[in-house]
Amino acid sequence: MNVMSETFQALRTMRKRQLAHQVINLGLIITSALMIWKFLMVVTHSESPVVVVLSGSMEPAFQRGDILFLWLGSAPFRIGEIVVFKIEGRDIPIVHRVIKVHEKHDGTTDVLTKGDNNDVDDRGLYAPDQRWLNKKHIIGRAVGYLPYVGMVTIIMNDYPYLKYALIGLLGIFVLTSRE
Amino acid sequence: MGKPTRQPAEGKGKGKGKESENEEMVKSVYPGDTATTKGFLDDAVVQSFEDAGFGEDHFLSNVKLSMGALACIFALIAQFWPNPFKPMPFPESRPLLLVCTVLYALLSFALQMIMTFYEQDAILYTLPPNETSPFWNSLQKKRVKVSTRLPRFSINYTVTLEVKDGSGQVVDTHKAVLKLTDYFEENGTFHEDFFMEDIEALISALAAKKTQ
Repeated sequence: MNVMSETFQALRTMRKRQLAHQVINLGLIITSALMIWKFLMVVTHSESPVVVVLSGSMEPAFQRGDILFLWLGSAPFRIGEIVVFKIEGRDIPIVHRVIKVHEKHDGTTDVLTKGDNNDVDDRGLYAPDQRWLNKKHIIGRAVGYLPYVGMVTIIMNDYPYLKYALIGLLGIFVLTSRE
Repeated sequence: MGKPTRQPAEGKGKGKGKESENEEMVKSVYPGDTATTKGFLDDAVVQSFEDAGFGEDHFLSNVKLSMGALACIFALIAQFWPNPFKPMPFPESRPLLLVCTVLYALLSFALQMIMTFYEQDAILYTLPPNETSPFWNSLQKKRVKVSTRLPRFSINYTVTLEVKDGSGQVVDTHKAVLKLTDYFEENGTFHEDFFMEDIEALISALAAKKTQ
């Protein structure tokens, strides 16, 4: 734990004002990541502009661990588009393909989805009385993807202590390095 | 190279207590660790000016801290408004997010511009010397901007002193290059007292120039 004692040593010899600057620096680094995310949300109109594919239900198109970039336009949904949606009451976004569309007179659409690698459509996944998806459930359409990069997120979710260790290390590094 | 050879000054305003304190807190760097070395040197420069009766002008530091804190506050608002446990859900919060992101970006950008173009290499902005200072007459009402540079793997530490009068005009500049080998032993031990003596000599030279 030499790193920890060196860290405390460095922090103790800093003047209070310097420490304040380092803390604000750390805050700015963290918030800049947050604000980039918020900016993407504003631009893409999607509450989660980047998602990680969590299951293998869309193989061979997308594997577990791929990253998807989402865009929620105002155009009606069409068969064949890959959409990411959330079911009421569940937190996890699901990435599947649109296989049926009912377009009403006012332009709104009812949508049915199915994973490419699944045998049945998603009615079993929807909320108990729900037979169709609407725009309000859909987070966005997939408009681009990066393979494998999302594995980092999956690993950090499966092993939470890794996340805390990484954040702790970053914090120590920023607090003790001088401008 | 070898050990810097010099007689340590006798109680130069530091007193017996400080000397024994210095013995306990000998500062040492890994040779080649330019960042920490510059840190030690900069701290010693600031301390020298303080000992010579120049207080530190915290104005720019306060401005930077407030801008940084304000930017962080906007980020927190964007994330947690109106209630940390029940933030506004996305489609409704878009206008709020837009405002917060733009304000954050402006503050961040302004902060970066200040640091890159206004502050540059400065490590200290002083106030005019107070009455107890030996420079009370020679540098009366003048402030000093101290900038330093230490390139990677170089042994030359450049100190630039800019003297500004009451209206902010630069009336004098003084540059000096100090060799690290005069103050650091091969094993990295820092002889802060030798260094601070030389910095005081620099300030005296600066004051002497003014009265010519």
